[in-house]
Amino acid sequence: MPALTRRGAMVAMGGAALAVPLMQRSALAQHADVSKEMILNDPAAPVSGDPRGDLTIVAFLDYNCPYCKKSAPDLARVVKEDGKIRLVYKDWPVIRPTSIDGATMALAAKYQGKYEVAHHALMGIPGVGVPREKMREGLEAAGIDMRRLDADMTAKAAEIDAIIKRNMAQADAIGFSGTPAYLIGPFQTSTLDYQGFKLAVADARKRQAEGQ
Amino acid sequence: MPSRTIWSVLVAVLMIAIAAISTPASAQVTSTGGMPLPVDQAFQLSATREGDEGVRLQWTIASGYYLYHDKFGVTQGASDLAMPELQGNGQSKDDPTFGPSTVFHDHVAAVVPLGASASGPLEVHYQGCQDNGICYPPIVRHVDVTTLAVTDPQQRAPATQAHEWTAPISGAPALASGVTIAADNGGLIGSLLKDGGVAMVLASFLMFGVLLAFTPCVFPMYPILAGAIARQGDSVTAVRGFNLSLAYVLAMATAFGLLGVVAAWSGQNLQMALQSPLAIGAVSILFVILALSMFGLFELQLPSAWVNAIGRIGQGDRGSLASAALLGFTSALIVGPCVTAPLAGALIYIAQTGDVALGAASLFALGLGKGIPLIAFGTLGPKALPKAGAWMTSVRQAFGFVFVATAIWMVSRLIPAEAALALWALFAIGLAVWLGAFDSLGPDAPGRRRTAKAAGIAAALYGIVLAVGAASGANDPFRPLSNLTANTRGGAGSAQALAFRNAATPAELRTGLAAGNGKPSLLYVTADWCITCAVIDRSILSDPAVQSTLARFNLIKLDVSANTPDQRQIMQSLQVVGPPTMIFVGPEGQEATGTRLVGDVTKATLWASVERTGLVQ
Repeated sequence: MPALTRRGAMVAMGGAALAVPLMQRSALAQHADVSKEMILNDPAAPVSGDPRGDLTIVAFLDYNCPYCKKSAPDLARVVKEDGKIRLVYKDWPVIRPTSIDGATMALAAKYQGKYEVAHHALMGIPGVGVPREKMREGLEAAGIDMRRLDADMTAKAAEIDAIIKRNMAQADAIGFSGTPAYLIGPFQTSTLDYQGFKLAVADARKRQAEGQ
Repeated sequence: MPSRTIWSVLVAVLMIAIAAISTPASAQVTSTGGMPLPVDQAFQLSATREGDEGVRLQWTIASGYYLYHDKFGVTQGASDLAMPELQGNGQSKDDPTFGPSTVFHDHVAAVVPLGASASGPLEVHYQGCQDNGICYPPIVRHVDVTTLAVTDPQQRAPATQAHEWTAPISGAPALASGVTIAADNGGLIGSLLKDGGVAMVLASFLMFGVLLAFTPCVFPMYPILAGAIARQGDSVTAVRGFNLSLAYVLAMATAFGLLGVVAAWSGQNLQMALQSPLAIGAVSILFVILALSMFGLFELQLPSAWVNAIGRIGQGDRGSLASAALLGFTSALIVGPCVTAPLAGALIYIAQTGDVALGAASLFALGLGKGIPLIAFGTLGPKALPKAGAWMTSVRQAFGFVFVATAIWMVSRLIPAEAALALWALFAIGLAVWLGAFDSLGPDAPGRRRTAKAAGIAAALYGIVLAVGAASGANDPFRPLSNLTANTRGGAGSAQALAFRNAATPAELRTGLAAGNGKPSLLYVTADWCITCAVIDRSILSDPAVQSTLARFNLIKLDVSANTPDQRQIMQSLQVVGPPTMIFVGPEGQEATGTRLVGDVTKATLWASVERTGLVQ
C-alpha cells in the first residue's frame, strides 16, 4: 500500500501531482487537530531529548530540505548538551516528491523503536532530491530492519498517513512558509546554527519564566 | 491568501524589523533564523505580453533568496509546455550539504510561446529557498493569458495558530546584532579540495603562507629569529642557522595548526584570547629577559639560579633549539597573529565537515609557507654575520635592542599611547648612548665610530622629540609633535578622517546601524594588535578616493581589542573569526552577498566589494 499512500500525500502536498488543486489540503485540515495542544503534545509524534524537559522544541522538517540537513547536527548538539529540552519531530514532507517516502519510512521506523536512528540517517544524506532507493540504502546502513519497516509501512499505513496529514495541517495553521520551521518555546524560527539555537533556547526559557 | 494570513505574517515581519533595527515598515527583512518572507514577496512573479504569441514571465527575487534552475515548469490545460530558455544569471551552488545545483538570484525571466490550440491559464511552477533559511514547497501560480493576472490557485488553510508563536527577540543571531549575515562566506578549502584534493589544499595554503611572509605581519619575526641565531655567538654555521630557523618555523606552524584545533573545539579564536594583558605582559617580559641576556647582563650579577634557569634555555644544542621553538610559538600567536583570513577559511571547512585534521593541517601548511623565507634568511644570514671578537658582542647587543623594541611594541598594546611614547623615548636615548652619541671622539677616531656617533645623536634627537611629544600628550611615534604643531587633538591616524562610529555591544551595534538612516553600513572589525588593520588604516582608509566612496556608508567600527564577552557575542553572531573583517550591510540589515572582506584589504578588493553591494553608485 505504500504507493497509494504516497500518491495521496503527494496530491495533498501539491508536489508533482499539481494538476489537482489543493482543495484536499484544506479539506484535510478540517479533519486534523491543529490545536496548540496537539502541536505540542501529539501522542503519535516522535519525541526525543528529555520527554519531561522544561522546554519544548517542535521541529517541522523534510528529508529533502537542505537547511534542515544543515541545521540538524546543531539542533541535535544543543538538545544533547542542554539535557532538558523536549524535542518533538513533525515530518512535514513538502519539498520534493520523495520527501513523502522519507517521512513515511521514518515514521514507520518508530514501530521498531528506531525513529531517531532513521531520522538522522535520512538527514545525513546530502542533496535536495534524494531518490527513494538512496533513502532505503541509508536506512539499511543505519541498522533499520527493512523487512520490519516494509511490514509496518503496510500495516500502519493509515496511522502514518494520519500523522503526516495532521503535521501538514498544523504547519499550515501556524502559517509556516517552508522548511525547516522550529517552535522553540514561545518562538517560531527557521534555520539556526549552534549558537543561534543556544540563544533562542535561553531566550525562550527567559520568556517562559517571565510568563509564569 | 486569506487576509488574516497576510496580516499575521506582516505583523511577524514587522516585529522582527522593529526588534532588529528601526527600518521602514516596507523594508524586506530577510533574517537567518527570523521569519522568512511570504512566498510571493520572496519571489514576485509578473507577466507581460511579448509580441503577439508570447507571454513573458518575470520573477523578481528578494535579496537573500534564490530559485532553483531545474524546478521551473509551465503547463497549459493538460499539456506540458516545453520550458523556454531561462534568462538570468544562473549561478552554480555547490555545498557539501546541498549537492550541486544551479540557482538564480535577483531576477530571472522566460518567454512562453502560446500555442494556438491551447486555452486556459498558464500554470507556472517554480521552487526556491531563502539563503541559509528555509526552502519553500513547490509553488504554482496561474497566469491568465488574456489579463496577465497572476493568481494563486491554492486554497491555503487559514493560519489559525499564527498568533501562538512569535519571532524570537534576540534568539536568532541575526537579531542579536541587527545584521543578517550572507550565507556565502568562504568555503575556500572546500573548493580547493574539489579542485585538487588534499594535496591541492595543503599546497595552496603553503603558497598563501609564502605570500603572507612578505607582509608586515611577518616583519617582526625576522629580527626575532636573527636575534635567536645571534645569541649563539661565534658558533653559528649555515647548518646551525638552518636548524634554528627550522625549529622556529615548525613551532610557528604548529601554533597555527593549534589555532585551528582550538577554534574548532571551543569556538574561541586563540590568537584573540592570547591578546590578554597577561599573555602580552609575559611575552614582553620574555623579550626583556632575552634582551638582558644579549647585553651580557647575566654574566654580571644576576642570582645564579636565574642564570641557570635561563641559561639552560639558551645554551647547548637542544636548549637553543627549544628556545628558538618557544620564540616561534609565541611569535605566531602573540607577536604577529595575522591569520584571520586563512583561519576563517579553515574554520568554515571544519564547521561544514567536522574534519578538524585537514583544517588544522592547512593552517600548519600556511605556517610552513610563512616560514620558508625565514628559513632561507636563517640559513644564509649567519654568513653575513661577522665571525669573531668584539664585533660579535656588538651584534649581540644590537639584537638586545631589537628585543627591547619588540617588548615595548608588545607592551604598547596594554598601556596608554602616551606612556608607550615615553618608553620609545627612553629606548631611543638608550640606543643613542649605546651608539656612543655622548662619547667624545678623538681626532683620529675611525669612521665606524663616527658613523655610530652620528646615528646615536640622531637617535638621541628622536628620543628627545618623542619625550616632548609624550609630555604634550601625543600618541603617534611618527608624529610626536602633532599636538604642538597643529590643533589636531587626539589620534593623528589618517583613518580618523573617516567618521567611524564605535560599537562595543550588540545594542550599540543596533543603534549604530539604525543611525545609518537608510544608508548602507560598513562594519569594520579591527583591533589594536592587528597589524593588518594598521596597514589598512594607513594605506587604504587614508586614500582620498577610498574616503570619498566610504563616506557614503554609515561607518561602524567594532574594536575587539578587549575581547569582552559582548564583543565575542557580536563576532559570533556575525561569524567573524577575527580582525580585520569588513562587512557591507544594506539599509535593512542584510549583508550583501559575496562582499565580505576578511584579512588584508587592497583598494581593488575594496572597490570590488563596494561595487558588488550595489548599495552605492
